Amino acid sequence: MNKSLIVFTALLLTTICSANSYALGSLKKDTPEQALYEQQKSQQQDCALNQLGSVIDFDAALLSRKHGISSSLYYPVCWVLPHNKEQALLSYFQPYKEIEHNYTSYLWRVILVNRYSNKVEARYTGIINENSNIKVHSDTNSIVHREYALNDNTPALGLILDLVNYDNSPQSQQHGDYQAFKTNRFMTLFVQQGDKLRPVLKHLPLDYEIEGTDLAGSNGGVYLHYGVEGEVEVLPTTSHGYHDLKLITQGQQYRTDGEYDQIEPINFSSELKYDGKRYPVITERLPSPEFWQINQTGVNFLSESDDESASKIVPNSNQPESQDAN
Amino acid sequence: MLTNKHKTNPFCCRLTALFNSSLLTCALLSCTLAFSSTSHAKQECSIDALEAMENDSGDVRGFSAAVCKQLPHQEQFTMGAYLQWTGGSYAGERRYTLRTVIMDTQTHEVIARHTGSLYERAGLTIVADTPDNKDPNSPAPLWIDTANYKLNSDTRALGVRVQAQQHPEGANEYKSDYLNLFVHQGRFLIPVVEKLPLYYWKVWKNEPSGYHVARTPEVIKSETNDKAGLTKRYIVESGKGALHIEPKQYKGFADLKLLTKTKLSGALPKRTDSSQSRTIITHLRFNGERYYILESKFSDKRDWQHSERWWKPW
Repeated sequence: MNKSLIVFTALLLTTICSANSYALGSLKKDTPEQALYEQQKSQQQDCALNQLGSVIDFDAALLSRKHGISSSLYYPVCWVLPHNKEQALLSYFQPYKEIEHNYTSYLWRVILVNRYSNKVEARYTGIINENSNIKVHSDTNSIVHREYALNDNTPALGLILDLVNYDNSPQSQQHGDYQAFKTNRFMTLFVQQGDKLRPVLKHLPLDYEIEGTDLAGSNGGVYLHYGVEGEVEVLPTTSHGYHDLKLITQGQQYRTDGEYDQIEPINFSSELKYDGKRYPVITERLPSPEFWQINQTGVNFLSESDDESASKIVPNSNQPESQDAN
Repeated sequence: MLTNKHKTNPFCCRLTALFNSSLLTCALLSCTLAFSSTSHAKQECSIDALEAMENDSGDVRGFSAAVCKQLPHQEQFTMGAYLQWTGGSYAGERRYTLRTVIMDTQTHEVIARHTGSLYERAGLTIVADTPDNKDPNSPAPLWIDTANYKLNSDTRALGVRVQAQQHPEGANEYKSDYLNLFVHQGRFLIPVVEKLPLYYWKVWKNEPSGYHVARTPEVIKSETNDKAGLTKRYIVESGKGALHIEPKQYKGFADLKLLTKTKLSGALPKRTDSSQSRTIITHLRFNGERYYILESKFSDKRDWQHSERWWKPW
């Protein structure tokens, strides 16, 4: 009698939870903070579903035996796929080894699990090394509650790693100027290929921040800050069989010379094309080459710089080569 | 053994005779000398090799360029090299990590590695490999050079070349196509030659041949903007170097000789003679740790870095 009641309650919970995750998956998020909170809450719920928690424990035990490391695992996240409730995407971190200066190297495990057989159908293991710029923390690992259809038969699943990544080393030391670049959130898209989860887009930065000074300004120097955040959209065009993607970022630039402040909205975007193996991620050209042309001309330079950047790339180095051939 | 598809160069055999070297040298010479960005197959990394290198790096930053090649003389090993951007915002001022690895060809386990750095500068601007960069004139930033750099009977060095992409703005002289040579020992790739430029380009300033042309504002504007115009007005010397293995050894490794055959072009007079090309010799010697430049005609004050022309005046 009691037993059947428990089973019934569990079933009811399962239905509610998966319905909830389905709704989340299809809803457009309101604010990033709220969406993140909802997502994490939902992921914790999903890991409690049926035996997903024990699937993670078991997988971590196997992984630790393979690498001869402790079986402790961190930051598990789970998501029951909305289009196919038989499958769930699971991910967790496992300390791999201590590296220099007391930093830790982690295994980043991502698995696709059949919820009825509890079998791991596809897997990926990455390595994330902590360093002075990269720190793994309790909110590091999260699943994007959305599927990206790369073509009719290829859904891609996304994870975002939030790594406290900052680079406060001077980027340009000319004339005593200072520039720093920071980015924290990195998105990876996986597709299933047999028993492997292949990252087709790896660690695409979603947020970009530059701050810098320009001491050559008229009033003895200016301080500039650019910050944009973005997301990835699927375009109708394709390259090598997969849809092109577009990174769309929005934010603002702030500029002050101590007396006058200027704030302007800015946005940048870049198309990402599949090359047959990957969507190449060239950080120094993202979110768009114009982003990197920060200088004292400030607010209005964006609209003027388009032509300049195009003409700069003309390579001339081949010309002497052709003369050589004569 | 010739791994690059290339044109046969008659220069190769002439030089071989000239320097009385072995057949091996001829092969080497043509291998390095006739290197052309458009005539080689891409050194693509398999997705497994790429993932192995990413995990070996442990860094979240993507690769701005990556190349892989199975070693022709040791097929169980595959060499890989990649560039990872580490800082700097302007093109020409950016910093990269250049990592070179040896992988097991089957399992892709990384068994040896070397981590170096690369700072952009004049003549060395990295143009990342993306499907957007379809410019056929733009060579891949990295190239694995498996020519037979046999430093002694047991040691064959492995090369990684870094290609420059741009003629530096306003420069009168630049070097590019940098060669790194590594010796594989257990878990290490030991660099023995670092950033040796193989390509040489210099503008010899002289009386501009268009000097008497009426200097209208259009002419002045085209002179300052048009880089091609530079070679029309000045004499340009350019050439590629080829590395030779010398029979003489020092501290266990053979001496190296870099022959840079250069040619003049640009605003040359119609009357030409044979003095318009020359071969510059650079000797390198191993000091027990790495190679250093023993002697270079590039730094010969008598005919170089000197205002006087080395070619015959007309």
